[in-house]
Amino acid sequence: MKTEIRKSLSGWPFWLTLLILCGMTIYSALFIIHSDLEASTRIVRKVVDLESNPMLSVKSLYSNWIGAEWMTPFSTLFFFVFPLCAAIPYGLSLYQERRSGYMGQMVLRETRARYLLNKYVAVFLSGGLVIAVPVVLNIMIIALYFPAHAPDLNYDIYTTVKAFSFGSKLYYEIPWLYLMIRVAVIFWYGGVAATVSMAVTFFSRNRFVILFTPMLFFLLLNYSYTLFQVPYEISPLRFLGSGNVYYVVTPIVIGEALFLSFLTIAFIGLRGRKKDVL
Amino acid sequence: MFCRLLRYDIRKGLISDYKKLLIVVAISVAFCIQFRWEYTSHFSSLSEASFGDIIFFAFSGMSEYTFSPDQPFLFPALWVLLLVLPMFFVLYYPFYDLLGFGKNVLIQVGRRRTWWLSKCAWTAVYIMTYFLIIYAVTAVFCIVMRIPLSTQISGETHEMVAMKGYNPMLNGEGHLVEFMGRMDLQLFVLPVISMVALALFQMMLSLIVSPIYSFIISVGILISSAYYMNPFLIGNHCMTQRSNLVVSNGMDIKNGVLLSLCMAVFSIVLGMIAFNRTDVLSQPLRDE
Repeated sequence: MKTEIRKSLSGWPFWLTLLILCGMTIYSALFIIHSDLEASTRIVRKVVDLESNPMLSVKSLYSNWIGAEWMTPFSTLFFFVFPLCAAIPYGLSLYQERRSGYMGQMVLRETRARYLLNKYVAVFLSGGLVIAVPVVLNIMIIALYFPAHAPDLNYDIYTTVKAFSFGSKLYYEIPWLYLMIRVAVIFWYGGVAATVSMAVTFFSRNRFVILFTPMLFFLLLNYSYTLFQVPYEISPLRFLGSGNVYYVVTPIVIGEALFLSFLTIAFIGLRGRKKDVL
Repeated sequence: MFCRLLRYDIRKGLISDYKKLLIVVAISVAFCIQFRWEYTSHFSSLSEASFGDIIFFAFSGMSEYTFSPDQPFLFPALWVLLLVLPMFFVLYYPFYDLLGFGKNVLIQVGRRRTWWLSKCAWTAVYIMTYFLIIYAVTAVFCIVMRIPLSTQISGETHEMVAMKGYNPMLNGEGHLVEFMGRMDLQLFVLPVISMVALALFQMMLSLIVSPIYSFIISVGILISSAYYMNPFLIGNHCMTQRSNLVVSNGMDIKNGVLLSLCMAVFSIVLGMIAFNRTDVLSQPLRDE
């Protein structure tokens, strides 16, 4: 397993994708900070009315990190391309190892189940990390400028956390824990997206189909909510970030991740056990 | 030779790959049904609807977005899906072909320029086919639902899409103009030309970076188009809600065609230069 994890995190696709995603999140953070600095300068120069509300309660780490801001297109783009980016680092490894015959060699040296388990863990970790690390970096940069004071309930229209939505109680009471849970959920979905592409390896021999299936799946899911007028946000492309209009409810966020994790494990377990390595 | 190669590309990259296009059929049926639901929920019957209405609805996109702290940016799901799909469909055939039999074809052709131009023509044909399928499925839906096959856009649909999406407090300086009911070129020609240009740009980028990263750039252009109402972001020309026939500061068709042509010519020429220098034998796909 150690070898698999090392392989998954040392390849250049992992580092290049990480670099691109970090670029997006850094831009998002710097843009937010720059905009706030400009607004503050206007107040200092008395360009704006000093009696107007300076909205200090909104100027918090918890309402300006990439999962809560919608000021820059990069925050939307980041959560839009996450299924593809999660699959890039190691999603193709099983396909490549099957094609090159490496899998056959490995299966001779250890059990097939063990090989697939190690591969699954490595793919999950690489997908999760490549998505979660840029988010953490964004939070760190935002935290350098914005204070981490608890959000004010009176300003709830300026945040995407609606009453009774996913983690809303925690958001106002223990916001740092809420932030950690949100990052953990983002990590989980990144891992799930990567393992979906691994599961597709057993159904397709086309590397592009393998890589793009998670993104197409999430895109179709994203469209289905408008088509079927679902009252809750069901698309991870929307609820992982800030661009949501409907309620983000806990059973859907956790249930969807659990369901997809179970589905990928079942597919990989069943098909991987039966499908001939040669 | 060029025509033979193009025929080969169309046969191999389009006709024998028909399964992908079934997804387009399914999505077209889905948005037709969605239109029916939304229209009947607003106006009780489909009597005033037309073929043009459904296409107007499908490619409506979103009105201009101006940042507001209490107004989250929501990318238009259907519009993004309809434009991202063809970008994915045309992404890999040219380079996947080079991994196998395509190398022999390239040797047989003898000239890299012919091979590249054939792939460019194939991309244009693919995008046109993609849009034709959407129009054909919509036409069949109209026939089944007894909706007139007219390209006239009804005031009801304009009200349902453009007026509902328009918010004078948020939509910048633009205001709705008096709608004349027809925008055939903006509806049926401009999206095709714009998407062909973007697809050629993506193919050129695929040579320089890699197909996967070039796809991310294309998606970035489309998302940015939804975010910023700027004529240089080509996705704006594919949104009916951002046409100058709908909003006063909207996109002009002449600019859209000119920008698309410039982008297409630039991509073809730069792609040709890049392909002449690409080592197709050792590393056809850099991300492998």
